[in-house]
Amino acid sequence: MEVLLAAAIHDAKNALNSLGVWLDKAQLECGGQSPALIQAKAVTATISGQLVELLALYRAGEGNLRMAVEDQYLEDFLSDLMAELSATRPVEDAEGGAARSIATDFAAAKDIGAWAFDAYLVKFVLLDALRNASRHAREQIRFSIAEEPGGGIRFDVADDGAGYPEEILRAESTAKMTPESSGLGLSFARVIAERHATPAGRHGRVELANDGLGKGGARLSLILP
Amino acid sequence: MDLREKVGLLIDDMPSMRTTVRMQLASIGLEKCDQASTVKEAIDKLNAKHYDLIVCDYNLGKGSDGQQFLELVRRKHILPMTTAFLMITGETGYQQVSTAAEYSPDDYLLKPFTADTLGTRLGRIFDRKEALEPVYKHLGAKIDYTKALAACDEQIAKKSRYTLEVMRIKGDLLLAKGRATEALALYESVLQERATPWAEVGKALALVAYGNPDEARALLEQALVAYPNYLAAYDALADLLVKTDKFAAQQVVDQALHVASTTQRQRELGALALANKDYERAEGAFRFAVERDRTGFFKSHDDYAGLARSCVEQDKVQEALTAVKDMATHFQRTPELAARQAALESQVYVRAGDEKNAKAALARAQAAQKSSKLDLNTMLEIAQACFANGQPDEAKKIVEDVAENYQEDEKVLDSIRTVFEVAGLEDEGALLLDDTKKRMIRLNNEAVALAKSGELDKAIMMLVEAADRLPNNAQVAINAAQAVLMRVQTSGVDMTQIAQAHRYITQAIKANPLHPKLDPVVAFYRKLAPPGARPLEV
Repeated sequence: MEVLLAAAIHDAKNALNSLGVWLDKAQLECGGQSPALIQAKAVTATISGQLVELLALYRAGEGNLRMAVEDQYLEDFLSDLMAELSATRPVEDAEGGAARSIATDFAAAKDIGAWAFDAYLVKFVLLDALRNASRHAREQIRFSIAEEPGGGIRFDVADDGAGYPEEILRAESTAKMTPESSGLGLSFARVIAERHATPAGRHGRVELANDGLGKGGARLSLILP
Repeated sequence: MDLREKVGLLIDDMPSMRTTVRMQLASIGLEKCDQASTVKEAIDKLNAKHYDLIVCDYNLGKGSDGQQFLELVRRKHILPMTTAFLMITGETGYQQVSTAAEYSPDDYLLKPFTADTLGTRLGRIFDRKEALEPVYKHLGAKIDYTKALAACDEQIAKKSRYTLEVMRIKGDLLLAKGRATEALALYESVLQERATPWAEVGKALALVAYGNPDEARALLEQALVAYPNYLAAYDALADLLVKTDKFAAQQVVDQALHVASTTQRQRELGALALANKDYERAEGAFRFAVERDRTGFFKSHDDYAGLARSCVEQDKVQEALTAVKDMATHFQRTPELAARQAALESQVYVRAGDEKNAKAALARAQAAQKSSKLDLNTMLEIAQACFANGQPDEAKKIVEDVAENYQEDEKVLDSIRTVFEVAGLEDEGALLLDDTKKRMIRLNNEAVALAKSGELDKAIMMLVEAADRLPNNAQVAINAAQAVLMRVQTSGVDMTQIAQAHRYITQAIKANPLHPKLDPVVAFYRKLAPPGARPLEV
């Protein structure tokens, strides 16, 4: 089963990659800015990310999730992350409004320097959180990094939307299906956080709260040990 | 970052991928780029020309991969540290690339990627190579530890963004020099700031060097709970356990193989399984090593020898003979190879009860031994064959010579123990090794006593004779050089004696560049050697 599922997801990802190449080509052919094509690329990136998450969760369940924990220069990591995000962001949201801008505060990245984590998996956690925030924000999104007191680093993604529904905040360990979300992203984030550990026994974690921007906007924090 | 002046080499077995990446490289300015589709082609190109950058796909086909290639060229110093190495991997290869123990690429890139991403990553690699050039330039085939460590300290004082990287290099250097206390302090200071796998392993290695293996073991086991894919931790733990508990060591290597199956690890597993008399497992491991790698670059005579031995022990005579025969595929037909094959073949025939063929094969091996200089493992194989054929005196003569030559190399001494064990003569082996050790100590002590009592020339004669007989014994060569230099000090400069001292110090460096007594004798030489004498390359 593992082989079959992994192969199927792999094939689907490859297909999405070549779809991405075709979309780029189409973009060139129509002389640059086609909002519909940009939108299509954003959808492709989202599906691609979901496939990565799905496969990682499946492997984690089977005890086969392998991680590569190594030093990452945070400034480089964040700059790669933002570049990938902006290359795959929709120009408008589902209701046709303009996409929200993201205010960043990366000042602490320079002070911390490097931190050890799996850059590939953590990148998908944060991309998902930022895309999610883009969907729910009214006007603002804030993305920041800070040193966690007592050892560790913390990524915060906050928006000024309506905040998380009560049942998601209550269900600390299991993600719930809601009309807007399958809960895949949150489950993935929790597993990836938990799998980051130190020999001293500290683990990563995800915090959810409605103390983001505005009046009770959502905040997701990823804390890595 | 201007890439126009850089020269690159692109390695990928798939022509379509080469074309794509080649175009991406050109679009970001790297126009000068050669291509290779196989490991052999890549090595030929690296030997012929200097490259600033290698871009290598993880999957190279024919059972070879980019990580093996990187380890090979770095270990053999075909690829200097100043050359950048970027690995391209799929989503399943990256863990094995990034957690590899000793040799990791400067960066890796997951497919698919855009030319922009490629450009950004290359820019960062070259920035780092440039910033750390003062350190890297001392890390060639001959590492200049004093200068390299000084360069590290200078970089650390600058507090650049690469400090952590430099600390890592400095830790490796300190460990290599056996400066355990300083290494331990370095790793602890890193771990105080952050948890990171390499510093955990470094700390454990420092504890081993410090003489605290139990604490090191506990630390590594704990590290593996937090970082279950960190191959360097498995390697360090296996290395530690091999000295005390080969069964536990085999288990650890087995676990590492589940994370990443490489020829090197299969070989290690095979050797441990042989020692543990787990012949079925040994056969599987060696078979993997010889069959997986269809390029021939990553396997050795030892793999076939291991396969033959594990088959023989299970009375699979035909398979064992096939393994001995297959040993010639992929390798040059040297006297060494022929001798190794003959020695193995002889043991197989002994086991099969074919005395005539056994004796004939052994005779061929012994003839090769007389006419050419053979490597260590071939010599021990011949000794093993002598034991098997009922010629224990011949066997012991060979083993004694090896033991004297490699007196300070625990790994070689362990191989000798295994030879006796296989021959069923464990106690005799322990006795012989003990005698050899005492004899070498006595030789050195007697020479020192002679020198002290004013009979320096007698001491010199003794040591020079021993050093000429035992080219791989660093201690003896160092003492010979020391005695000759003492003569120069008392009787004045004699260029023949200076040259003699130079020769023995060079011999010692070749035998063990990290010998703790090397630095003082080098300093002594430099003090006495007049201008115009050959400088020492340390």
